[in-house]
Amino acid sequence: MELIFYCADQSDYSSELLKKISVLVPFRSLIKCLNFKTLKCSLLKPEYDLFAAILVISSRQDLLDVQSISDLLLTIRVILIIPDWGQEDILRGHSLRPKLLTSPGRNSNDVIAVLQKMLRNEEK
Amino acid sequence: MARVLIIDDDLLVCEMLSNIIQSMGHSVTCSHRLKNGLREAEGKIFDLVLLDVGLPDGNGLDAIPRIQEAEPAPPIIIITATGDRNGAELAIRKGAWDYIEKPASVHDMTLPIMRALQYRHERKVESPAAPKVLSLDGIVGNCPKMKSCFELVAQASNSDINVLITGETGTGKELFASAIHNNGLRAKKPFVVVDCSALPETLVESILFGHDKGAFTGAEKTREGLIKQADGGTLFLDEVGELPLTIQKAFLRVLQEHRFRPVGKSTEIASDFRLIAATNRNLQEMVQEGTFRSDFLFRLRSLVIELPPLRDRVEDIGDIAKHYVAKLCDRYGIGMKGFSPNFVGSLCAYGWPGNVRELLHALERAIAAAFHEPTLFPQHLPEHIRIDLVKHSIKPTNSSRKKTDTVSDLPRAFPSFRDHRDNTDLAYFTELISLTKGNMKEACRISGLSRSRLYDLLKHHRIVYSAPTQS
Repeated sequence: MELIFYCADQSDYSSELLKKISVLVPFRSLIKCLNFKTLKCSLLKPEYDLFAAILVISSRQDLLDVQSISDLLLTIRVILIIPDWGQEDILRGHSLRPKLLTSPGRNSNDVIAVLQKMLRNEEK
Repeated sequence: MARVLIIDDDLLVCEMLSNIIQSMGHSVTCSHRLKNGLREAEGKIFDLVLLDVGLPDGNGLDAIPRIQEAEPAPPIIIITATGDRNGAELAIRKGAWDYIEKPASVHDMTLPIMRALQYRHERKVESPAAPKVLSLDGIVGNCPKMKSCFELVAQASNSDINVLITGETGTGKELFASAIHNNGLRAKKPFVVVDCSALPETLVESILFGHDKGAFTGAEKTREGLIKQADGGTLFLDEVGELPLTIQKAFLRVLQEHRFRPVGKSTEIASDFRLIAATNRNLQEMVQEGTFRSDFLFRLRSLVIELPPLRDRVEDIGDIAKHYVAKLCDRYGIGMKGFSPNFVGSLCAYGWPGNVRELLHALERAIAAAFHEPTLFPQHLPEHIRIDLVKHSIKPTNSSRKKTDTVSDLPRAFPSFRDHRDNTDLAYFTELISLTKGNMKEACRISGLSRSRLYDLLKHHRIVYSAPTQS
């Protein structure tokens, strides 16, 4: 099973998050998508057995792009990280029905805690 | 004037009920056999069906789904001499309107009949000429159980009451919650999903209620919780059985007052949300075990929608497969695939413990396996499904078949229900006659069948018997 990590614009937060995820998920199972095109392609590859997608959104356009492929995301678990922009973007974020909707902070402990729990549930 | 159908083999009861109903000014049709009754119910429109349980040719409770297939489905009152709590529960679960135990007084019989007819009349009057069309995006189903669920979705969409959706994992609880939201008055507002099973206990409170800056280590800024984010819309508590007891208590207050205090804040904030919860666990049992609050459960289940497992709606599997294969082919930009004659048969023969979600996953795997091939065969299904199908197709008594059975033989190897029942009956009667050495009196005593019924069945199964010789 594969896990997608999407981040179109790298930051300290996303680098630290990716480092932490790499510890939890086997190297071969982690698909790193550094732009929207590769994200979409990865979601469309039928040979992948996707477990979850962690999406670090960098801009409003990025969020709109991701929202445009919500159909592809509805069957997998999504953890969505969007900057604190306001109500409208939160509404957009919730349309992807994420398991966790959070914003980038000094640390990414909440994302890791939820991912760990999801992995534990999957093992059961 | 309403039309009432009575299916009861007791002539006296039929006469008494007919008198009651005719004195109310309604017309009555009586059937003393289940088969005839079902023929009547399928051929004409009735406003009420009074149905006995122990009929000579079958169990009335098993006929409820068939009677409910009629459009519009009539209310059904079960009238039986063999009243027991489990039977009554089963009748109501299957969709009966009421359950009356015989013998009953005229008064006891009259009241439920009047109420059922009044209900039927009001539904006719209240039903608008063009009923609201439900948007059920992604939900495919046409069986009576699903139709009942759709009716409940419509009821829930027209109101703001709390809804509890129950069903095994993968039955589509989130899709139903989303359908209630999308068809309701809050459709333009947020639909906020809280997966209680994915949230670690240490984070649940702050994620749901939000927190103030500095409320705890790591709370570097004020954050709005999901309850506030659902303001004006719907909050969907998925896997609500996983919610810790302490949070259940706090949430109960939120449900009562729609006000709460974020972690570390001194003031309360308000949120006007509609609650839908879902679970695959038995919350009543959890209440008895002390792991779920009874007052919280009471609040949650103002309206309960029980989603059937896929194995209980096998007739929908073909439609679901067609719908999703078309969708997936479109997504992958490949031409629509056909099904081999035994593909749907194989899908129907599997038990689907993971329900619709597992079926969709299997279809996705099948399409990946047959990517450029125009037709899906059972061989394209995931290996564990093919192994399961082959295992179940092997009869332990016939070792020679074990080696030759393949998945492609399955639809032919798997008997229809009628064939299966005929085979079982045949084996039973053959053994009965052999055991009693053709003594009909003894055979009637053991089987509990009347002599004429036994003769009929032996004739039906072409069982030749010879009476024991008198010594």
